Amino acid sequence: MRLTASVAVVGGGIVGSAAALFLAERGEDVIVLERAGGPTQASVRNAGGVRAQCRNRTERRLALASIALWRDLADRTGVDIEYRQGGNLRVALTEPTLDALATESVEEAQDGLATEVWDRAELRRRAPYLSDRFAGAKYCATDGHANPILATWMVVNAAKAAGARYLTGADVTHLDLDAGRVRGLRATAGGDILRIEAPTLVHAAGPWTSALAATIGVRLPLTPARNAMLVSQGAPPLLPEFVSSHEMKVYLRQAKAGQVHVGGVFTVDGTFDQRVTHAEIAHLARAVEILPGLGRLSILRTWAGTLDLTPDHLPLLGTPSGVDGYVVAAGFSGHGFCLGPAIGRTIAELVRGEPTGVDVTALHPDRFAAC
Amino acid sequence: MSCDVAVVGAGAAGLRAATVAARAGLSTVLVDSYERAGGQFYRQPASTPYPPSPTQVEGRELIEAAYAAGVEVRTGTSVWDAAARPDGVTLWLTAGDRLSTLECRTLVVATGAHERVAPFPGWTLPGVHTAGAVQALHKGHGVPVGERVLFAGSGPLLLVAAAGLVETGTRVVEVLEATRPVRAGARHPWATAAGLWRQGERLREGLGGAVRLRRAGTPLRTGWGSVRALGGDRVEGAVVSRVDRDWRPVAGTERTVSCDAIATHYSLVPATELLRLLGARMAHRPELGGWVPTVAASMATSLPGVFAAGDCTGIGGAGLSLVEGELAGLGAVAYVTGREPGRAPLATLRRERRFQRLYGTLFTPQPGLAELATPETVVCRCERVTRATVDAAVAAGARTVQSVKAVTRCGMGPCQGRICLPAITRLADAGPPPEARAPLEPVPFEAVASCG
Amino acid sequence: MSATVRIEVDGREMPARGGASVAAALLATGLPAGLFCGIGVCHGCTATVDGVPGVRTCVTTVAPGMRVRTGGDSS
Repeated sequence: MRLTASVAVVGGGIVGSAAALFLAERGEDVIVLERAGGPTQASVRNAGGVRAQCRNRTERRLALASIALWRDLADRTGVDIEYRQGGNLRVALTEPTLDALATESVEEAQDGLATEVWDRAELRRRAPYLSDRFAGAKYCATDGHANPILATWMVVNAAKAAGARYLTGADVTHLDLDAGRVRGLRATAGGDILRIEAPTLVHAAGPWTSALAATIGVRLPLTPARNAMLVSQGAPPLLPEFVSSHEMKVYLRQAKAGQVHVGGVFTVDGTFDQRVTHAEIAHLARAVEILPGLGRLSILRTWAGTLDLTPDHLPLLGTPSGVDGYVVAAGFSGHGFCLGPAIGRTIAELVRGEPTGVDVTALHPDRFAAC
Repeated sequence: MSCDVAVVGAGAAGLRAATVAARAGLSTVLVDSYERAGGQFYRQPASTPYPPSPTQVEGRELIEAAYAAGVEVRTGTSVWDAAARPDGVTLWLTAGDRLSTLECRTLVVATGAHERVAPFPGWTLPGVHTAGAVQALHKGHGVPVGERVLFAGSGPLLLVAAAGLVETGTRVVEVLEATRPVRAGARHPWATAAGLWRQGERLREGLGGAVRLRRAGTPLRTGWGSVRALGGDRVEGAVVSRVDRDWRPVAGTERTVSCDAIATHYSLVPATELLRLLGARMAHRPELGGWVPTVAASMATSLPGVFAAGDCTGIGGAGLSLVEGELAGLGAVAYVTGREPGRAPLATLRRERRFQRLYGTLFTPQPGLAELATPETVVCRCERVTRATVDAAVAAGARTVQSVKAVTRCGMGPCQGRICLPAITRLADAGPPPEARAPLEPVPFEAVASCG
Repeated sequence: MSATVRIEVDGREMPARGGASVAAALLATGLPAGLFCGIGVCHGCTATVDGVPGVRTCVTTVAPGMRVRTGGDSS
């Protein structure tokens, strides 16, 4: 079967779907190819954090743009994605860590993001349900979290409503490169071979991007990492904020259904294995050291997703030199969900040659080309 | 802590397997989540005023034999995580707040089964229970679930549970069996004859039960089913009707029955979470109750050193569970000692397998079961998800059970899909067996954090 | 037969037969228990027992002085 489109998007997760949405709204004829029956990977397995604080400058700007887009999309579509701006709290175990957060707060203010630094006493006063072991915290009132499954599907459905075509069960096997330009792809779908001709291809397949990119000589330094998570039994409201400890490598938030989601451990073992190990469960159970109220509760379920880590934990976004018509959007290193809508809009701007709302030159894949 | 043989599940199969292993001189640990050994069929009295039944006495003897053989029996202990090692299996156990680890050289999984339920309108009203719940309350605690109980569904347990209840004076208003076993048996005369050959005890129990019901004035009807439960705060009645061979209600035959409790049962589903967690190869066998591990004649699974026995390998009744337990015990002993396994009770095995085949022929669920739920019917009790929500998700592209779960929250509640996912499977797609991940049982944060 | 055990349910003291499950004790006095499967699989019968939420009453044996709170917060 042969199809044509003006843009083919490989990967139907949050990034690919957001790109499809913004491209379709700009009048592009978009086809999205997704291997599974719908978004099933990192987009729907993450903790649902929607935050602008505690980021590199470029990501901060993308996050601020994304937050506005998440709100706008939810309003427009009328879909309840359980988005609550309950605040994000980055806790610090030591004074030096707190000092570093204070410095970050100044930078954030320069970008128009208001954050507060709380000392030990202030943290006890404002969040008495947290453990008293922390030296303090940085708080961002406008940050929050959403339900990643509902949110990703909202974007998928909005893209379809805007005219994007979705082909599920389609495994892309070849990218067609001709005279330095990508002109399309081949995929297998239910035993048939699908050929798509498109002058532009967006590659947003998470950790699975690099293997296919390598077939056209594009080297993308993506390392798969397992992100294990656990969820507690349902509980009455215990925690309004999304709390994270960089030092303990644990973050947690309470979902609308009352269950507390815990994550924070990435395991790089050279595989795409998504089985949660006993050691990971034991590590995540330490969330009880952040929120003592978890002590009376039980762990109900675990799962894992696979992240695509880059050497600097920043995304790859842009067209690698020497390959025209090809936009890479991968390597989100665990930040893809929150940044998804702004990345999608940026991709649409890049494809159409419009000035990008956020300057993403720092994310260009060529920064690793010499390695 | 370590041992030669670990057995998970202290029902018929597990008790027998553990006893065989211990008698052969191997260090054997038997764990069960309940506070008492015996499983479901041999459920022991806990607080009942009635004297123990012959089955309970038989169960008592099995339990005592295990203790006498030197089995270390740990009740109130659940397996929440497990991993196969090259030289055995590691089990992570929880007993209340106390966690422990058990390393064994060989493992016998005898986790039994739980009842299959089918969502139908009104099934979430107080007063609707599984037939097994009614029996557990009665056999274990002497507590009746109501004063006018309706039994409806399919499977011999309906008859047995109802007959047990009328014996102690509770009124059973009707017993409705969806299949027509006599007609079905007549369609498969050889399988029926083979399945019932030398099953005198079962036949006596079945006929005896039917006689007791008749004497108590309880009608026993085949080819009938319950369609809807009625009531405000709790069950007050039910709409029942004739059903055809596919278990679909026959138009024009509906009538209302007054009752204050409904016992529902549609045979059993093997409990295979531990086997799937370990990675044992599974096969979908509807006539055995659904997904089952593939096992050799020795009851060895596809994982070296891991055996499975009893209803978790396919529904077949207590007699078969005892034989399979013995085989698994012999297999475990042979695996550890390297000696030839002892003599298998082959005649008994063949007889019980014939019964198993007959059971599968008569009591496999039919398509009409999936059609009882209306759009408003809750299909996931934990998360209160209706059939309409599931249908919408399937229509929007969620094809497998995993994706229906992700979008609708079905199976994300405390029971982790044990009750609803078999029903969702009938509404969506068979696909691969559902994933099993640790923890198999909810396990306290505090305990895991302090011991990890 | 078996000794009587005194437990507290939603603030009221009540007797239970020794060895009974909490669910059986509730049902014996005519109180609803949320019971469905009776074997600890469905979690319909959960209550907060001695401060711990989500306890399956059908597989928990009564103990002297046990405090049971039904309804609402044991999700």
